[in-house]
Amino acid sequence: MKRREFIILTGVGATSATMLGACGNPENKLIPALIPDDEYVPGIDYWKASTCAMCPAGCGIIVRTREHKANKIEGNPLHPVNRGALCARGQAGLQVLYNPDRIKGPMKRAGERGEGKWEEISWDEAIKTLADKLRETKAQGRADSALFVTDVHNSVDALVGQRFMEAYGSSAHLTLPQFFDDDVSYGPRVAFDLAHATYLLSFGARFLETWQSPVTYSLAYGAFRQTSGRARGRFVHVEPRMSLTAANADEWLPAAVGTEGVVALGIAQVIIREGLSRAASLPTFARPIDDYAPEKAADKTGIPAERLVRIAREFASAERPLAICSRSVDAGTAGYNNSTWVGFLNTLVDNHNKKGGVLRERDYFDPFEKLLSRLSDSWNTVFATNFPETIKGREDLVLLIHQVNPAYMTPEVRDELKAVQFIASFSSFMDETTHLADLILPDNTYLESWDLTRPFSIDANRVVSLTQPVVKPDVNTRQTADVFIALSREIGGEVEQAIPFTSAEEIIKRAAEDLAKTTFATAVDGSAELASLTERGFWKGETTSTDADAPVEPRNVPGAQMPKIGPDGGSPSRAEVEELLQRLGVHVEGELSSSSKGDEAEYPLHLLMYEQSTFGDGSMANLPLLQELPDPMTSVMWGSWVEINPVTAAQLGIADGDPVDVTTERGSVLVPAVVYPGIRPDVIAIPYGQGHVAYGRFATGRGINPALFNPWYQRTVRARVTKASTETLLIRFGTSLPEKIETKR
Amino acid sequence: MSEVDKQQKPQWGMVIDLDRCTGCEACVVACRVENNIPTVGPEEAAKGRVIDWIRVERYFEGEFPDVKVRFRPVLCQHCEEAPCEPVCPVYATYHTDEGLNAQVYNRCVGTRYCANNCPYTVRSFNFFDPHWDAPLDKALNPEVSVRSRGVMEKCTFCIQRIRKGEEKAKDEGRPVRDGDVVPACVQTCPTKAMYFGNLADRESEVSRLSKSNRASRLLEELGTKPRVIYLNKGE
Amino acid sequence: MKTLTKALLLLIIVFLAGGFLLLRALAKPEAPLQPIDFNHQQHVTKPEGPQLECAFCHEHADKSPHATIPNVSLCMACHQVEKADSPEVVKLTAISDRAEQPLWVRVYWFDKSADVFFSHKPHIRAGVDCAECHGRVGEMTRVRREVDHTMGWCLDCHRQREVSVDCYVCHR
Repeated sequence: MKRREFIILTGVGATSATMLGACGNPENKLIPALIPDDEYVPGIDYWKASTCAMCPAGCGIIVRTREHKANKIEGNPLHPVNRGALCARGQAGLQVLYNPDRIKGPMKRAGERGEGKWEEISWDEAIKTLADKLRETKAQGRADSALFVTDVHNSVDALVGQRFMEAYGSSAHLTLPQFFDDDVSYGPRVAFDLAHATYLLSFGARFLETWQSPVTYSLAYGAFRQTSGRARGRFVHVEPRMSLTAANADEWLPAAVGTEGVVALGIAQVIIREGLSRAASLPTFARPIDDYAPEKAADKTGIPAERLVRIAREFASAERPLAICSRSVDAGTAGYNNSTWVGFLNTLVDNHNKKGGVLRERDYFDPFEKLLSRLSDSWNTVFATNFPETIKGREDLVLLIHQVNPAYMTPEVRDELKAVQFIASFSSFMDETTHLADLILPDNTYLESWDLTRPFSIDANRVVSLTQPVVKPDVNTRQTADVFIALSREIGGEVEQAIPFTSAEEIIKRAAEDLAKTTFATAVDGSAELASLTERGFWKGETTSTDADAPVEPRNVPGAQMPKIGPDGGSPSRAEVEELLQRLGVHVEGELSSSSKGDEAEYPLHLLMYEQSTFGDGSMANLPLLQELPDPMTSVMWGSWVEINPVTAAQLGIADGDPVDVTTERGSVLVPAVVYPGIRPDVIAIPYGQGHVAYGRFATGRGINPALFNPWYQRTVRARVTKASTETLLIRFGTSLPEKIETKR
Repeated sequence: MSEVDKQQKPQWGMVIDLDRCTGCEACVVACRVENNIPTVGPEEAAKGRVIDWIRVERYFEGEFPDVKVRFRPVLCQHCEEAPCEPVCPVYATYHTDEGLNAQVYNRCVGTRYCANNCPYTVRSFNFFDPHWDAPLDKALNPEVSVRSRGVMEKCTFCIQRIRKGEEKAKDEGRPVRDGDVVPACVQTCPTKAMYFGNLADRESEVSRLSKSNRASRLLEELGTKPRVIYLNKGE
Repeated sequence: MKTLTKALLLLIIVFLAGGFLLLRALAKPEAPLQPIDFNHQQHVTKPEGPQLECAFCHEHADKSPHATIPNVSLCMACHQVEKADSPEVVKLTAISDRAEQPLWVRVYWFDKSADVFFSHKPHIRAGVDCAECHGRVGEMTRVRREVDHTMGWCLDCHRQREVSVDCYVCHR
């Protein structure tokens, strides 16, 4: 009986109250929970080590379980990536596991496609249905109509899926990259020793939110700011909108959209002209770099020349300067040169493979190399950044979709998807893509799966992190690798031979034992390696990269030769850029354009679409914990918003909280305005993540999806804003504290 | 309890380094998960009824382009002279001998006087019985009560984790050491901006940091003597 | 007239109080019927019995908040052979064979709404005898609740032993 009820009932009469109390006391039924079994003692916490999968960073986690239920996730204090810390997203992981909108078991479509009618089926039937479809497709000689679409991770699920499809005869495997923000001026597996840097110059790299490995860099940032016995590091951030990372900078440079490269070149020009370069030799320039002098470029970037000159001097004369850059500065706006010039700044201050500088991991290895390598070289991995183009008019397709949600990320693809022959979805949740599927083979969540990942750590080389089940699924789901294994048994022949394993668990355990055979193993015995891996959750090779004895030149830094710059002094031609990129090994994707798409007169503003720290690519929007977490910069909860500079808002007659229409060439959306002091007057911004049309009770119908305007990998489009008359609710976290609290010293 | 006994009890306190804090709100989510704090949903959130034991305040200063932002995590300050305590008509909120400002849910009758009298607005009221759509309730922490409708709640410095830390020290037959007790917010902090420990122990990290020349207490002019110490941002 | 009202009032009070006590007794039956008529006396104090210690079966009392009810596999360790044909052991064996556990009925518990976080472990460590809180269970043929676990009762003992009576000791 509840206390309130008791108070109410005492008014009615003590007898009846006790009578109510007598009926079926729930505590009586708890006895089975008090009986220990082989695996647990009631009332005792059991901690299980695994790896977070809420973003690709691969932080180590420990999960507190009691009586077979998980009740808290914490960072693994021993793990080299996150040393016990964990971000807001990682903390919310249990709501993925225990989400009420999880798909409970395999289902097949009962009504029309997209109607939302489903029939529950058994796993045997689900596997047979998919096997029949694949057999039928192959019999018609169209094996390459079958496409496996997954994200970019080298997960055991993706690798087993790839192998299956290759053996089956499909021609390619599509990877639809999730948001993954990193520094493209360098190749993969480069880390930045932020903790020991003394001056940090960041070009759009939101390392406290979404860039690379946010917890690793947050830890490093803490040390950068306050380490006893050392001066406080200075941090300058370049970005048109003040992100959470920019808000933590000592100086924020709101450079115009797409001019980050020009800012970097301006700083480089000052360093060179004032003879502050520490590089052994300076490159020869095809074009005088003087054209990018801060004095000449100030109009373009919007950054006063004297400010940039001062920063250049500070940067070049700092004890350990470091420049970092986001992939996003190159996405869709100014070509691909921005990040290259940021890398060049590091060359000028000569910080490669040095304390506080750019570090590179040595001896890359893949724990699955022996077990799950490609069967032949002809097999292709296609980065389907332009997914709509890839599947346009392909009604013959049989799509196997895993871990990605193209119907949300590129909403224009919905009609194309509706037209394809067959869709099998492996999603754990009903999402926009799964809604259009014919067959659902629901995957386990990361807390019920097996996997090995290779996370990047600043401090340690060669880390392997283990994902292992911390609880048994309460629902009838299966790990996708296991489904592919079952599917291969059903189809038989070459396909079956290609996957000589019984389960994902077996693959992981064998891969773990193989770790012992690597030259840098710490234990000689495979079983010891495995035991330590399951207990601690990660495996670490014995050397660290900070004291690398053989320095490796990062791949893409323009070293001896300065690449050419286009004839107009602005963006280089496409051919030039592509040639350059090829030489530098930079990964090319998307359209090249010199500015935001759209007509400048009709659409005077740049609409910036950014990845918000908690929702990521939108797959976190179904977690109520994160929906009710106020956005750190705007305090908005449970919805979308558009950020507008106060001056621009005043000109347009828009007040904070007003509903506005944001219009681009692709249409218009209604969204509440947040008057935001930290954004350029010519820029407005909407975060990704909301605006789901079919993603469970917490996300569906909430806010808007800016991907409607643009494929998600482009950063900006041109837009205009007008005040709207329709009401739209803006929910913000409120406090009655006075606006400013200044504490006395 | 005599003054000497009081000295022997740990006096829990927290230090938050505002120069390390980035405003990421990992502490907020960690706290909600650890302490069974319900999400109230959009309708109630719009009425300002969100329950939070810790929040991150954000202040904009200046105008574009010279905008500065400050973040400050605010939780129950566990004031030595807590304004919430004397106004409670049923002694539901009181001070423990370990220096915690405690809230006893069984005693609370929901007058909300305490929340009105708290200058830090860190107390949250349960306007409804909390609800978790099954099976979200499986993730509830069995070590913490689920508060019912009509009671006030607030940060306990993770009392359940304090008890566990003390228990562990007892098991090992030794006094509680610095680092034995780590509240959920401190544990998860991605920049290690938060510290927790015994202020009565001169050797503890919190004692050392509380003597920093950057140290200050929130609204200390009110004379509440908070047990949360902030280290101001460096310049 | 006046006396009649008084008498009526008294009658109502007596009725209510009697009903309260009666139903209270029913609400927490002191010696509930158990799925298996387990006899503590036979296991603990009977000279010809095995004379088990409490912790032999309630083995986690010193490590966990819960003393725990033994898993049926522990019962079967002896009863596989011992008195295997007694009717109650036959019932037990049947439950064990179905890989189930007997659905024991609780004798001592705190209401969930009391928000009490009781733990056996510190009490055992402090040397509190099991019987102090549970009565002389070892002498009972069917477990009967002998001690009423009210807050006042807890506090009395805490005060006597000079243990903290801070609310946060038990409530959180």
